[in-house]
Amino acid sequence: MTSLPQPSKKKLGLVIDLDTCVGCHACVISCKEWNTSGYGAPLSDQNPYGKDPSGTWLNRVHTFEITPNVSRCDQPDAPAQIVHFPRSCLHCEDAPCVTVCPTGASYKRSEDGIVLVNEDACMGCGLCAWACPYGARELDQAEGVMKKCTLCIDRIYNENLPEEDRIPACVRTCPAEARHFGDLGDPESSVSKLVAERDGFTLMPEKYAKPVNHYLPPRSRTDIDGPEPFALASLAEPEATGFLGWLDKALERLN
Amino acid sequence: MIRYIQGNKDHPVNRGVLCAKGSAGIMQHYSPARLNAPLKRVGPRGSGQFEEISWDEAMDIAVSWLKPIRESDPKRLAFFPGRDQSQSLTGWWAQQYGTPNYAAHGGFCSVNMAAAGLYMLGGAFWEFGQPDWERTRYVMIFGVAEDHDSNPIKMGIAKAKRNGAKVIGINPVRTGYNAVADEWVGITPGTDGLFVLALIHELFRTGNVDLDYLLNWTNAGWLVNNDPKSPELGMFLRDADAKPLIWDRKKNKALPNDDPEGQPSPKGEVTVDGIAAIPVFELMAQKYLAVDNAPDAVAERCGINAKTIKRIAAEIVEAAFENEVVVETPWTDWLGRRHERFVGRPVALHAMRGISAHSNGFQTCRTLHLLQLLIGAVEVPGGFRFKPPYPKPVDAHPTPTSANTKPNGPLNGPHLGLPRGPEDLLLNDDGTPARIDKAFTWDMPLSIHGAMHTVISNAATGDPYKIDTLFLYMANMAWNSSMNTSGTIDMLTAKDDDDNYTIPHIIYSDAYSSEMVAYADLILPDTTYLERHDCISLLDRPISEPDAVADSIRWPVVEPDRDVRGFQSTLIALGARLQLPGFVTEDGSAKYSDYADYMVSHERRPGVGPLGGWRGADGESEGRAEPNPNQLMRYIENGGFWKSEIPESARYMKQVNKDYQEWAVGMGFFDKPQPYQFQLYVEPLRKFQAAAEGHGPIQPPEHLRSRVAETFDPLPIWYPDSCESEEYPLHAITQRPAAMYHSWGSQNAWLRQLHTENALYVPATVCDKAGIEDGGWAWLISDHARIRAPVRRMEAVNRNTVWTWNAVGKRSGAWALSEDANEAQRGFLLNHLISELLPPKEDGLRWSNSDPITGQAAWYDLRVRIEKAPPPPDGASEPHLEPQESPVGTGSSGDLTYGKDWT
Amino acid sequence: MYPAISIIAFSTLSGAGFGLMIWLGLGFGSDEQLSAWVSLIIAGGLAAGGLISSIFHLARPDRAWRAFSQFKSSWLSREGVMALATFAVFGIYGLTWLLTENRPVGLGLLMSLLAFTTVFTTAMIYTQLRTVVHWHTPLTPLVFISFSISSGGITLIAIQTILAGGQLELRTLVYGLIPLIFAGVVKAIWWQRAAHTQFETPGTATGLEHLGKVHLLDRPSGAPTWLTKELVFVVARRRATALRRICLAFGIVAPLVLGLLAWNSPSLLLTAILVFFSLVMHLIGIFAERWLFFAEAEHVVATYY
Repeated sequence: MTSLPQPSKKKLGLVIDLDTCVGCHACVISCKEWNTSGYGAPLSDQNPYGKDPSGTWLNRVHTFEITPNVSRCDQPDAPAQIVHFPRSCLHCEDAPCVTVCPTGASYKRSEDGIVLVNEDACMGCGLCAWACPYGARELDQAEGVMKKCTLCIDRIYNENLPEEDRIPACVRTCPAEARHFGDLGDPESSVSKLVAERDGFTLMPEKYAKPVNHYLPPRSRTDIDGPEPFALASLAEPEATGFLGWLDKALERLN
Repeated sequence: MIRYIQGNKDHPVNRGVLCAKGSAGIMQHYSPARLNAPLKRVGPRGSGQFEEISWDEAMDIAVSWLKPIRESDPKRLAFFPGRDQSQSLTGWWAQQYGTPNYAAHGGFCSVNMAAAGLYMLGGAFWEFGQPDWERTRYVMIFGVAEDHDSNPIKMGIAKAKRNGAKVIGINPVRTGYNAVADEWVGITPGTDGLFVLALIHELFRTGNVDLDYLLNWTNAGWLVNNDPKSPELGMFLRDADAKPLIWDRKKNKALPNDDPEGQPSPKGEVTVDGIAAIPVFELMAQKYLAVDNAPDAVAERCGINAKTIKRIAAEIVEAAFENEVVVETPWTDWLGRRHERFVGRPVALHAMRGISAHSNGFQTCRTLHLLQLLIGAVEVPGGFRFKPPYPKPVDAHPTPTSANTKPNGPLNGPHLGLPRGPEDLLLNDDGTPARIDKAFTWDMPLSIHGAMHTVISNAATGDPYKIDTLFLYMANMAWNSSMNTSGTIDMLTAKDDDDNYTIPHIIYSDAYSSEMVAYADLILPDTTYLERHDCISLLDRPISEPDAVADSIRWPVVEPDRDVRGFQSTLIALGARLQLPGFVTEDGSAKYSDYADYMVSHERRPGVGPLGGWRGADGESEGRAEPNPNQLMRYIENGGFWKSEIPESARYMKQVNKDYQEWAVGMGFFDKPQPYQFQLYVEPLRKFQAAAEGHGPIQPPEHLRSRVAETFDPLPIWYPDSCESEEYPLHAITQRPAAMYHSWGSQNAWLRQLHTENALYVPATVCDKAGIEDGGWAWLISDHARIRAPVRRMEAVNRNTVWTWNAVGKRSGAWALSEDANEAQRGFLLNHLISELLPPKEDGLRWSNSDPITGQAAWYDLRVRIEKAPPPPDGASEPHLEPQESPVGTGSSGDLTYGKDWT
Repeated sequence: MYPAISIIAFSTLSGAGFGLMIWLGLGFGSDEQLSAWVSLIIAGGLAAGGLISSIFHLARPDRAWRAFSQFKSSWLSREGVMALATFAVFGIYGLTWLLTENRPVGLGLLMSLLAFTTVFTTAMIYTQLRTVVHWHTPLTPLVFISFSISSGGITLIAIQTILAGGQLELRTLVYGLIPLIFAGVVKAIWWQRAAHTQFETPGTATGLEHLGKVHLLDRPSGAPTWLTKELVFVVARRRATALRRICLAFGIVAPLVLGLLAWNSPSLLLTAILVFFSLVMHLIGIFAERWLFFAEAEHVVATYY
């Protein structure tokens, strides 16, 4: 069970657009809401109304600040930027979290590549969370079992839901079109095309986990490094009449 | 049991997406901070000591306070329902009660935005209109954080970016929408108007204005009296029918503005019947071509390179004039002229609180509208588009009212309206304010949303008069909704010489145990939003889209498990108990059984009620028709909303579009067509200004004369806000986190994990200069107070600005959180630093910390200095107020395992 | 990484126990019955105590039995299986020894091999993790094994010396102290490597390095979470330096010095006491070493925080 299956042809996963993610946490809460009463045990919260509340979440959004490499701090044109960075299970092809599991609870599905935890078999040793380079697994403190993103497996194959809703909750709710779901094993899928068009990348591929989820980088911003942008010609200079002279011509054009 | 909350894909606004707050609705509904039953205060105000009472007793108490006041002096009731989405009901209730003292929270929210838009365009940013996200090429968002319309803005930005449009964020802080903007302009707070005027200067300097649009659809060609000796100086020239005049450049004579043949001239002084006059356009050219508006002149003050300003102006021009958007639909204008197509300038602006909450916010917002109009980008494809029932001219709005029809009878009109001139101010014969909040006085003539933020201090000091009962709903005035929180708490608890509270009675309605609850004498507990009826009404601020009118309802999906009632139903019942006209039938019995009944059967005008869908006896009519008793059922069957598409020929240029005007009358937005031209030059402002210059019978008091003369410029201007100071060189501002909405998130077990405490974000250069490290503590000092707060170092922020998340800080004991909760220990408010009054002027008078035109609370004018502080020994921020007792106890400290019961 | 006491106790105690088994299986130690009883009880006790301690690290210990199922792929499972196999052979070996008063050589060698392998699999649980660069080196099993052998050896010396009333044989001493020096050297090399390991940065971890210097502005949650407590544990530099000194001084230097002093001790009682203390010191040192092994290890997830 904990051995990885032969790589599946179908590789379901997410494509996350860092260019439009505004960091609103809509996906974070929607994920919590769906999954606390969905697959497996609830996503519990500890000390929910007291000091240092914490809980189990399958999707979290970090906020990174990026200062330009070129030191131009005094130039308002080259300011620091902020990138909101959602982080959840990447459903890796070479999922290290699966092979370390001693009980067989962690597994990767051969049919679609989704990485899951069979909570009934999990003894809560936490080793899979140690093995995951992306912090995608959290040990639920009430249930004592490992929780992780299921790609909303209870939505995407749920025939009780309308077909358009058979997507992960985070994708369904994202207001900024920053989350896309599909088959990254199919080069013709919309998500694969997005990755191709937008220079999508995976996280730390050198860790040999071969993530399926991809990120789309923020698009290049202002063209301040490009050629001098076109400037508007002054009216006053070529013609002594200036603005009023221009006005006469503009009125002629109107008639 | 509520299992899951999902957005409705068919919903015209949200299209099925939900924000974090929406998905966390379960935790909002099951919050331990919910109030359980009506409460009567038993300890001193502020202690939080209450006893639960029955609804009968609660209503008896309320009636025992409200009935005698109504019989003796109705204005001794001040009714201010704060964040109220049912203002068409609450306002009407107050009108029937007969008190002039009613308003919602707009005065401390975004009245600048609303007033500027209404007077200039006939509608504002925010609920009144939105960018044409689909077609725009260039989006500029000014001072926009997580305010109104958050999901549509996220969806819109994504859509615009997908279509290759450029998004520019003008904001001192680069978070949220500004983080994903293609360019961020980290402007110095309060200087947006200056920046926009520099853009406008560039447009004029280079002749890049849409002359055709301006002369046809705005008052650019209207003639302004230019005779310095005339008492009418600055007013429009009008004909015998009071129609404004233009100068026809072909016929060389004056014509009324609605002459279909008229060809307005944009320039040249002319004489009409012996009066010198000049068109608005030339006045603008003179004003905005002045060198003090040039990019080089404003760059330093705005914190933006002049080169950048010029480039942005060039980009606007390119987007507007090189990428014209055409919709090939013929239409007819207000003068019967047929046009083959709609021509659009795909530049779209949006602005919000960052523009609004300054003492120069009204005029700043007007500069934005001026920019939009100059390039012809309002109500056109690709630009900024209105949502029905807007646009609507000033003439279609009432003027404000404070007079009763008869002694102690109803008010003879709605409280809030748009003053056309000094004659519409609400002043008593002796010049004293008619309203407790001093709205519509010379302090704030265009305070069209009232001034809720002044009510408590005015009532506490008896200025302009004392009141008996303060009745509030959903407004956390004892905490984050007031400037000077500690001072406000003192006012709420102040006593007179006889040991009576100076505000004798306070009634408050809230669903949750907020800080404000502790300061009320009687609590009327509201339900959660899942337990009640609501309507987002056509009489108020409906959910329309530019191409459709739409409104919506809420209906209860669970029954309350507590002894609580929806506030609107309570108010209706109270109206009946008080025998208010409109709330009782002829035999004196209650006219409406509850809010749901009111939503269906109330008619404000014949055939016009709160909801526009499925009207008429058979339920097949829209807009204007008699009530349909099964209306709510039809809404529920349709997913809770009603939507009706605007005919294609009526979708743009609505303000002058004949088809739209007729459609709008049919829908009941107004009773006859109201076409109008946009007002670049706002004559009502000139009327106030003229009064300040010594004209007319109603003139401002001496101490305000020069301020009114300077700020009420009929053309948009910029002036520095009220707080410029060398001693306090930094700006301090707040914004709402996307996942939280003010205070209502900290009681939510899921949302509070995202923002458990707030930090003061300080520019790296300021940190280094003050020797403050990331994670250290700082004193933040204003001329009013100082706070100690934990610091986070940040780069992506204007170099003179510190900021924090709004209202994450909480008072110990509130919101059913434990006393050691992070929100109550490390969390902090900037409100303590902000005074509701400015420091004394030379004459010793203290002006209100607000916009001199609208009275908008100037939250973002705050100036501070920063000093390194030692870490507090107890780890708590300062000031740290005493805990209040919680009338609902504290939320369980055990594990929360939502869903355990059925998984 | 969070230095959980249950895991530290597990690897140090079971390491000493299995280390002692390695020595016993190879025929070291007195053949006398008393020595057999004491040595076997201590070896079994340490190993079992360590393993029981590890159960406390499980959130669902009732399901610990499932951990034997995945030996084909999981080092933790292999560790369980090997520990079980070692115990089985250890049981037969011990019973045979006690009942027949003979030490079966073949079975002893098998027991040594299994114990050695068990310690190796324990080390591999950590070594396999690419997410913890400090651990992901062949040096890690070497550290675990050498400390296992040294602690087992010193335990054996202590048993022998105390049971012999303070008689310390040079041969015994040499066999005990050589692995000690070896362990010290290996750990020093391990630290040397750790000091020069390349970590991910927020830039490389997010793939946004090309945009500039990336650093975290806001964590995804306001308060610490299980994940941050478990993986983003940060030990103060001063504390780490102090503990390294304790590790070297107590774990290596003190046992060496005490051992040599014991060899030269004027009285048998003192010899016994010194030998006993060298064992205590060594175990304290290993505890410190193991605490640091976790606390100093930086998990790649920390670069997101």
